[in-house]
Amino acid sequence: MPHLLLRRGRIVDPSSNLDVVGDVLVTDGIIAHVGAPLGDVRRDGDLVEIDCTGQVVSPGFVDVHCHLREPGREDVETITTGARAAAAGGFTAVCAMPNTDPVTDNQAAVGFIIRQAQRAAAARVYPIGAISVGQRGEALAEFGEMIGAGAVAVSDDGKPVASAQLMRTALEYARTFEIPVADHCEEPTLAAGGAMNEGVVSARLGLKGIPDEAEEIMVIRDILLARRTGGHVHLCHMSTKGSVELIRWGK
Amino acid sequence: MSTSADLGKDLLGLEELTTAQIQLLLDVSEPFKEISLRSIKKVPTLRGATVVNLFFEASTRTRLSFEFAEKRLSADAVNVASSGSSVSKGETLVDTARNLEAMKIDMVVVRHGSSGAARFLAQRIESNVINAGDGMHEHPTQGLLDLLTLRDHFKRLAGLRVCICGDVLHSRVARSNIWGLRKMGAEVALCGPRSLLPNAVEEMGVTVFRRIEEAIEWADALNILRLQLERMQGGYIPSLREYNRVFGVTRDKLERAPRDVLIMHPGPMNRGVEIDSDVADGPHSVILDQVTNGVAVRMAVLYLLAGGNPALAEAAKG
Repeated sequence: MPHLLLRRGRIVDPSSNLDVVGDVLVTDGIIAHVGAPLGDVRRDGDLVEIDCTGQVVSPGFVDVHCHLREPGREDVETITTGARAAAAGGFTAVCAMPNTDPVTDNQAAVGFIIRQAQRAAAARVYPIGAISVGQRGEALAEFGEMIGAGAVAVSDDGKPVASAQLMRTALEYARTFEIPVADHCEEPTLAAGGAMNEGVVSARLGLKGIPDEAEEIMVIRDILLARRTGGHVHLCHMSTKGSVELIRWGK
Repeated sequence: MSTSADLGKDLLGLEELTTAQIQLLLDVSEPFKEISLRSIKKVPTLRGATVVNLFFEASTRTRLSFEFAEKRLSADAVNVASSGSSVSKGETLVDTARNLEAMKIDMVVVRHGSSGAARFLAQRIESNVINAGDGMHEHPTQGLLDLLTLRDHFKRLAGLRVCICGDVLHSRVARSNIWGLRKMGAEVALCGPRSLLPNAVEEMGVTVFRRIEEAIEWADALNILRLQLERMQGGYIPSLREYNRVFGVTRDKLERAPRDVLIMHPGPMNRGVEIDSDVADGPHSVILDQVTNGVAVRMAVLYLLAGGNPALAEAAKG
């Protein structure tokens, strides 16, 4: 493995409270130096030196919400293309949502994603399992089996958990495995058929709008259920001011 | 085909037109009215031009009106309906249009159930595109014929008070009317159940009346929209009977108005729901004049988009 020397980059690492211009040295795949500029570096074997002037050097980013679409919509994205795209963009790990076809709602499906990701050999891929069997919002999927196979969270993303009772049960049941339950917050009857945010622009364009309340009603429901159950709720893709205020209140 | 500098390549909506462009369209419509009154209703103006009427939604009035306009200008008109064509086999809108264009056509008149479909098409093909209604967005030739009918009757549009009544939420006619009327200096109001008016519609520069009685008292003209019967199943209103009681335009309500109120309706009407028969057929109704004007307006649109000189519209009648 060649050694790597990144020269004169702006090194940003919030976890170690670092934001300096300097050098990073990687030897044998291990970070050997971060920070002050190094002088002449001599190593046995290859040394690749990259001038990072004007660039940011940081730990890999993690995207906790992406869709790799495999299995089912390989025409759109595959685990390989998604993992490579992530790596090309600086993301070293991604979480794959389970709204595939068939739905990732069992340990075999989780295992398939793990194996495909190993073949892709790009960014790390962490599968997220479904909350309900088939994402139908009825019966809980086998969280324990999916976690055992490598899943890191559960979600019915792509769809909201419409039933408050199911959401409550999911938050309670997930406590055993200490995993987050991620919800796609969209009250389905208010959001039905919607194409964009509701307001004067949707009125002008003649497109069916989705009111802020479709998101906020689910946000407050999930916050209240998390309080009741002690479960770990993760609210996906928040988009309204009201949601932020509710989350602040909830915290 | 060359495009008119005055109008651009396409007619997609009244929102993007200037007051001068709308004025031009109305003025150029005037000389075309007379052609339909002749015994031989045909002029050679668009001879050799091919126009495709591409209708993805049911239409009688608009499609026939375009077809008459095209034929009376001597264009070759072809109708494509979604059933019985490749559309029913799942071909995309743009593939359908590109295939038509490969057969060398000049204009497409398109009606589609999705808002924005006409613009989507216009950006992807060379031919002139005329929007004959896209989803809940715009129906610009209906807006223009409504303006022409109002102008015929009142001899002006500026300062006129027009109330659009009924299901504005789902209505492309309403949106084209709001833009057209406002650009021509008319005052626009809406009246209907709040569940059938778009949220934030006041920001489009209109007044909202809660009660039809207030609207009638205020207005010079009412443009009464069709209540699409499926709205009741959709839960927007409880019953047609109550709709007629509360929002229906009846002779009884009109008789209490301080002035004669002109009655318009884009059709097809639900008699006894949004409009009573004695209003639709009454002395102040111009509903059939709207239909007559529709042909002239569409001739003007075809003529101008085909590159016709506005100053020669009179002569173009041949």
